[in-house]
Amino acid sequence: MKQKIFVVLFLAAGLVLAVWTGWSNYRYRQQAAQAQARTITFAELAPDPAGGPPQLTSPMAGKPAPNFTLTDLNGRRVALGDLKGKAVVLNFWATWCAPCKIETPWLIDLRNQYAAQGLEVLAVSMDDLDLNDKGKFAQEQQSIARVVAQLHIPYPVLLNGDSISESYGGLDQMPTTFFINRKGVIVAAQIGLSTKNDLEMKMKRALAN
Amino acid sequence: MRKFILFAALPLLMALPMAAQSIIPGWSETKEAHPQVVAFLAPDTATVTAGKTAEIELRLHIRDGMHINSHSPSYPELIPTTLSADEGSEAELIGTRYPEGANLMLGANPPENLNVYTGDLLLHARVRAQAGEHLLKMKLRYQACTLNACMPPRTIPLSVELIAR
Repeated sequence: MKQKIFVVLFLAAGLVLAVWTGWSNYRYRQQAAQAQARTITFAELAPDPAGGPPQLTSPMAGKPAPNFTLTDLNGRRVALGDLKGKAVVLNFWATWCAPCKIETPWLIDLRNQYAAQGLEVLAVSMDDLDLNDKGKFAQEQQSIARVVAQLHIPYPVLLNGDSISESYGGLDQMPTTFFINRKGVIVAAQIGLSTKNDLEMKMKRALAN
Repeated sequence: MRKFILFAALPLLMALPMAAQSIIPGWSETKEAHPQVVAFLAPDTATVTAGKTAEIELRLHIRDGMHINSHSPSYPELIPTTLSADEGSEAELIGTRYPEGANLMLGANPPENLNVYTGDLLLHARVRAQAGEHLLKMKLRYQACTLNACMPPRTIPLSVELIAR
């Protein structure tokens, strides 16, 4: 009799443990999903005007592009405001970002294709820069320039993207690209690697407005 | 009767691995603004011979769907995974033995060949401590990506209580 009671208790304990672990697993997965969602807090799903699946985009879409002035690799100061009247593709990237390297040749092709229609691409480097140490800064600038040369980037590459990251919604994933129309309004955004066709469609949207 | 006990024990045995999987201590910091990609799982403590160099195995886990560069990434501009001593460490970190990374090909025309760590990661830290209990403070720098996007480099603290006898 005692043995039977022991077995029944044992079984019950096993069942309780199974239910508890199932619940714990569910909670852990829920927490993991929430944590994953927090990486894209500045992004949201927006309907695709072309009727495709919803796109991951930024709440900055539809808003005026925050103005900035940054220095390019040649030491020239570039202000976004100076490009009014042009459609601008603002591409945040970094030398340590492999998906950015895949995307760059597409941007170069499309820029060459649409430059005559008034399209300009600005790359903004998110590489860390030691602004207080001239020697280190020069080295960091050189390593960015080396990658820019390897990729044959013909458009301006601006430095110190961190300084404007917050005004663009806080950028925590590279590449992130904003498509700005001729009036200076962000008409589309792309977080992460997309396709060349998708980039072209968004560029056309920037050129059309 | 034995068969019955075995049958009764079956759900318990099945539940144990699930229980182990559900409690992943390293993920406790997922409440931060940016979730942790790399979790330090073990050990909390390690026993070593006082004054002599010992090797301890650090068990880490990289979040599913993400990778970090290996210690020897394919290109100089990629940020390697590195373990270093942190300020205020009461024991010495003499060096680290890193595992070889796995090759990951990204994109095409031409593909980006990367050397990365994914999933479980074992680092072998060579340490030394004088007799007594000492907190070995270390920091791990890594740069994580998915197949489509990369996050900026991060540095996380790791610490192990060394018992040197």
